[in-house]
Amino acid sequence: MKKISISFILLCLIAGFFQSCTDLEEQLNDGVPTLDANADVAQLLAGAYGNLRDLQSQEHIIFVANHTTDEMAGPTRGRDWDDAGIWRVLHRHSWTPSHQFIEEGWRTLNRNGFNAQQVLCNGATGQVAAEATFLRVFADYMTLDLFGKVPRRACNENLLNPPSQLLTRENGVELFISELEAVFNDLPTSSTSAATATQDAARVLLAKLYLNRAVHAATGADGAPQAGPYTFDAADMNKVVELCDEIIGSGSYALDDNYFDNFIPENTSESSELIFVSENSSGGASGNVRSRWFCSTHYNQNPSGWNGFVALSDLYDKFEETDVRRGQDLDYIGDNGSGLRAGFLIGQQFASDGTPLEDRQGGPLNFTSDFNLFQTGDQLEVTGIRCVKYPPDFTTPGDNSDNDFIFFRYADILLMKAEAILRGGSSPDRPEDLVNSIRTIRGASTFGSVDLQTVLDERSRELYWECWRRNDQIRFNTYLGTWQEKPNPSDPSRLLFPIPAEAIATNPNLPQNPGY
Amino acid sequence: MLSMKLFKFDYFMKCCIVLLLAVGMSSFAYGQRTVSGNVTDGETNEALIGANVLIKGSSTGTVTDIDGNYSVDVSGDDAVLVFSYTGYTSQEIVVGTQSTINIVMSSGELLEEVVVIGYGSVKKSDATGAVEVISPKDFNQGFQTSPDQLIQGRLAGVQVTSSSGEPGAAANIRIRGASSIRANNNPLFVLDGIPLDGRDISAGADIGAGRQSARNPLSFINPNDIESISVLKDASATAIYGSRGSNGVIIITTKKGTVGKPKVELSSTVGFATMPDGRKYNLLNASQFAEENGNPNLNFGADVDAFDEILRTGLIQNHNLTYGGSTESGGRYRMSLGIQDQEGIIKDSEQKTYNATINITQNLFKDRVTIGGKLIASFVRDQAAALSDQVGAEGDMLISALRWNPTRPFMEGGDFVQPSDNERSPAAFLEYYDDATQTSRIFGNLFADVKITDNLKYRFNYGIDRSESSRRVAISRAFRANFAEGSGGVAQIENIEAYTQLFEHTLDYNASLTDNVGFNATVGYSYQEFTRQGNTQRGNGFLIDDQALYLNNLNFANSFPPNNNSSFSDPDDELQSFFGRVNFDINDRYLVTATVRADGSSRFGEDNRYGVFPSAAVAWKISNEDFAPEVFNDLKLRVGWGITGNQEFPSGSAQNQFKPLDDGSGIQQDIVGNPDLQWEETTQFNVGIDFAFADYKFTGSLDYFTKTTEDLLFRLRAAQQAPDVFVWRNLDGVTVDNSGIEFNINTYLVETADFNWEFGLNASYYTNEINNVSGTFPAGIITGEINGQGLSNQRAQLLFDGQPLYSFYLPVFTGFNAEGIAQYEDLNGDGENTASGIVPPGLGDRTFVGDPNPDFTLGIRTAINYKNFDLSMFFNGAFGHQVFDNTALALFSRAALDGGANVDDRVLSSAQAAGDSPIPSTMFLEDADFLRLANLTIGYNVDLGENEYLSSLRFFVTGQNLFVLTGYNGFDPEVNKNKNIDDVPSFGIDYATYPRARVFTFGVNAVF
Repeated sequence: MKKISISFILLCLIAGFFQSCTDLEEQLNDGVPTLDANADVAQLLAGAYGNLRDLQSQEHIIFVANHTTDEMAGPTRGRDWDDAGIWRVLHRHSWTPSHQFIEEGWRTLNRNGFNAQQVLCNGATGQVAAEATFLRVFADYMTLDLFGKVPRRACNENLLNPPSQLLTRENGVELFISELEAVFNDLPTSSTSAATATQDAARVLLAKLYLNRAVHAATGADGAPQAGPYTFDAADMNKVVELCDEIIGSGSYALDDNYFDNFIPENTSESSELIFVSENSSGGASGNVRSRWFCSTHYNQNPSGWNGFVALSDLYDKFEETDVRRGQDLDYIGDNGSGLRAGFLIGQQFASDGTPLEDRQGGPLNFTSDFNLFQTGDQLEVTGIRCVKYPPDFTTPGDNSDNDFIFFRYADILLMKAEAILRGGSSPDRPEDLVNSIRTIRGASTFGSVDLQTVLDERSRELYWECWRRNDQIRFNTYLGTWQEKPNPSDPSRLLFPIPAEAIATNPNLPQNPGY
Repeated sequence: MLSMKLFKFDYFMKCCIVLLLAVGMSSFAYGQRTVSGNVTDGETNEALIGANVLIKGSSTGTVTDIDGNYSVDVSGDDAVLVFSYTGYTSQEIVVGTQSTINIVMSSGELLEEVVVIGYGSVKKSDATGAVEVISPKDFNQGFQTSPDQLIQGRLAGVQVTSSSGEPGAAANIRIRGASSIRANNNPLFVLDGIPLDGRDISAGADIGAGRQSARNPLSFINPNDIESISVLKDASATAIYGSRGSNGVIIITTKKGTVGKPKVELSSTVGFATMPDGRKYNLLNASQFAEENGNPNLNFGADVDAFDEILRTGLIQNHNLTYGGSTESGGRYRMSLGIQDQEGIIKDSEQKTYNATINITQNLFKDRVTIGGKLIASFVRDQAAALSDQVGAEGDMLISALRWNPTRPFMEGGDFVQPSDNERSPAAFLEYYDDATQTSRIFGNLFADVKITDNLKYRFNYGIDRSESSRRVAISRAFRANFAEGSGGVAQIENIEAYTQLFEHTLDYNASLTDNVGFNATVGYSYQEFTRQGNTQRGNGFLIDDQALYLNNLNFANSFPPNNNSSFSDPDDELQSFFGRVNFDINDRYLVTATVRADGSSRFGEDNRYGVFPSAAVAWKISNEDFAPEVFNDLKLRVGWGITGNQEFPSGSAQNQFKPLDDGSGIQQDIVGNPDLQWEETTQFNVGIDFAFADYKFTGSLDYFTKTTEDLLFRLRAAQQAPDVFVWRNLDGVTVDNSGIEFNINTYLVETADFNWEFGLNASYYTNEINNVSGTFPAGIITGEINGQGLSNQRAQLLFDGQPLYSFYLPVFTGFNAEGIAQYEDLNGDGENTASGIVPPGLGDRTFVGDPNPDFTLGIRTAINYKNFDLSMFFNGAFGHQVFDNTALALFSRAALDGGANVDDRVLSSAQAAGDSPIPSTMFLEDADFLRLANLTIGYNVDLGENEYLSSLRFFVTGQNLFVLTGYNGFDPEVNKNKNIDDVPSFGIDYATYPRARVFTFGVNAVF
């Protein structure tokens, strides 16, 4: 017995010493401190593509920016959607540098730019490097467009320090164009999926850069954005026409006979217009595209929504009655037991069996075109036109809906070309034919002639709630104006969002935009 | 591999050198001889079995055998033997030339308290630091499920706030206030010498109804097994725990076998818990609602009380069986089995715990070696209702119940009435939500004490702590909520497993340097490693309604979203430490203690691998001075200073890390490492007085402390462009300053044969402040998430220069205008209402309007014995703080009532219009002063006479939370919901908090 005890104690002691001495090197288990460049660069690229899914949320800046336009508002209903005015200040152009969505948008977009660059910094070459460059410019251009500044880093900078570079409206567009052109030939000419950055996707991005170049150029010495009208360079417009023609001429795309095929859950396979999207897989990797229907539909509709955002009557009233874009019954929605329509929802709403729906107070669910940004009273839940741009995915359980989220699609190309011609670009094609080609297939009457205002309106009719409206309104110089529930014109400083307070706190080299 | 081995060998050598140095100190050795004798009871003349015989100034000694005899080796004539026995007055005898010393002991006087300090113990009268010890007689009585509940309110300077009344809810424990703004503020728990891992060991992810609050990780310790709890409060005491000592240390010592004949003890408690009626909100009943709402479309004709629907009378029971004793060969053993079952007062919530412990020690080689070990095996089954910390507009079960239209029936035609995602049915929640967590934990330690010489003792301590937790949570597709119905039902299984391993070597040296100077030194080496890993599986889309079947057939799901099917493994976390302590006792008047610990942690950045934490304390036993008045039995002045650390940030934060995206598509940089990262550092100064006078009739202490924390650990955003992550940094210049006064006194008001009356009081007064925040964060640090409809992204608290932590930063509500719209004070004088959203101080209509940290806390206990009856009461209270009632803000407005939701009757008397949309303001900030009768116990000890089987038998009844005096309108003024923002902790916001129960228990305790 005692012998056992002695050896036991000795064993403990010895085991103790051998076990217990360490150099304290930290052993990571589910992460790696550095990458194996050859093996991981494709995964880094996949990660950079995956980051695009974070742009799909209703709280992300590219959608939040819709609230600042004449297409959308987020009214407060009693106390519902009050959120201390976080939505209202967007519509009234009275946001501040501590606005949460502005802060988050800054971080997400810059993160996307950084992660795309990480691919380049880890030894990517050829097509991988080209796609990463596209994603980097895509993110950085959005940052520049929204905030007027992009804080870039060189490879392998110490991330604990502020970044060493700062792109501005003066130099950003030039750099983006040159970066894209440098890798253009390495991009794939075509792809099985619009989720891959192809040469056509790069053409659209280049066309956007050229088309908006004059806007970015209109910057004061202090970096202040200047209101339009802007002076567009014919050479830039020619580039836009040329790029659009290359896409049109490729024959890879066509306007879809069914407008909402662009947005339904199976849009990947059904739409003939998709050029660049963020891919969502049913039940798999998917962004928050579901917010596109939840954000607007009423609680008592199917799917039960959040009774949130409304489409402005300024927008709704732009449509002719026959225009399918204004609204359509889709068979598959009814087959799933829902009475929801695609497009705008106005007037009495019904269940799939034709029963009129009620709001939560038991009144008729009858959406009105009038609304107050600060809604009270009997009509609390029913004011405002609702919009279902992306029809719901009923088959996918959970939040992982299938609808691919569109950044670039074909109709936009036709409209950009029409606009570029009207702004001085040379082309044998007539802008009204381009616009009418869209209107015809959408069931609207054709125009004898078009001007810039017509093109702006048509862009709204075609691309409403697709996150281009702010960009368009600025370029057409209507962004600082007034519209439904925005009674006062705004200051030109509102052409840019403020640099978030948090960003300035972490980077003292980053100047605030004038006016904030 | 070879280089690895060499590396290890190198460290092995270093470790050995430390040991050898310590052994070298053993060269002071003396000649030895043996003293023997016996110990008897002065009244009965019976032998006392198991009386302690200790050589003063050492930890050497023995116990008397079954005949009361002892034999002990002493170093020489100077040796002093200390004879002690539970319930008897200790005696000290100078050996001189005697070889036989017989002792007659008498009972009845107070025993000197012994405080377990880190790596040793000390008599309370010799303690130089601010330390307190509490033993079972002073624990909170009644039904207690974890060690922290035993001491709640009992000790000055220790604030225990459970996160809710839910069975098994974790508690927030603050010793001398909060000193961190990001790192964990809970103290270090040490169980029988093994520091516990402070991380959550069970999962609580959100499947749509909100994030579940964390389970109490201490539930595995059976309160019945605890012998004492020592609390080390000041830095001179906690510095021996170095980088984990900043928040104080709570040392739990478990019971060992009692010396003597084997004893069997059986205790059983049964009882029930109810919601105190007076603490409910005054919700409208059906007829009030119909009248006040006035909309015939919203009157569905029924008459239900949804809040009562989710409540129940919870049955609770607790049974403990212990068996223990000692052997003639010097062994002690104790085994115990405990079973607890606590039904919560909200249906579906329950905690069952099963604990088994074995504790054995054995003396060997003529008591030169003692080996011992213990094993705790515990199994905890938590069942939870659909309740959450931060549910939004849609509401969890509690919110759904509070606002349920009382005219709306729960069932119609055999189906649940489920109006919409936004009006969720509490009855359907009960039916369609399952949430059960099973946690197994095995804790074992093994030690060997070796008396190398009489002065030098070596101890090896090994401990292992392993836990496995599995949570299974599901919601039926039949539940009308987008996250449930829209997902086709959800089933999720989450597993977390963790283990901790400790190796520790200590040497303890005791000697008298001169006749008047006693010396004690302890040095040690400790190595502890922590690992934690887990995985989550989720399935969506089931073709049936029974959610229990989802969990048992996860393969029946039709989709497995990648972001919810994942696994993780935290970086291995290692802590390697060298520590030492010296004590001098000069003339039995002056005590000097100095400690130092060097902590190396794998968490720290490579540039800061080791932190050194020193402390020093002196004490002056004034009562031993000649000039001291006789009336003082004890009077001691203590002064202590020390530096301690806090290293509670996630391991892996010092290194860059690349990981997959959440949805598994590709990889990205996930962590921006900070190689400079280190512990945060707290400097504490303490001065205190311990006193006992009038024959120990009055005992107590008074302490004043200041502590300042620097190098605060905080997560800052990386400066873009960068990964969208936080970077852990030590903030430069920002400090958290705490100071306070603590007082406690215990008196024996009446002491007679038949009647005894004891009274005790503890009180603490604190101030807390954060400073220089604006240097790094010009707009302060925002926290205090507010939830509810129309309250997304609302915040209520701001950490800012010169303000207490978690200060409420809110608009000042001034009343409703003629139109019934809330008005707020125009603080910045711009004529506009800029109360929305937090802007930097001075810019908008917000200001600092209070804080949730009590200025003053109070505990009062009194115990009366009359013959065989005993009665004890315990009150606790806190004063000078505020609580924000987010529940009322979110639910109780005219707009809510008009919209068809039930409200509190305060809405009826309010001038608020339906169009008013309340923002967080002082309207719902309430003073939360309270005084609670926390505990009342009446007991009866049965006279057994000469009973062959039973040695004691006691019956008792306990009431807990019998009443609370407070002006607060919510369920309970003690609130601790997890409302953090970006993990910046928050405190004092009440939202859908699980109400605190009133509990009655009846018990019997029998010793055989």
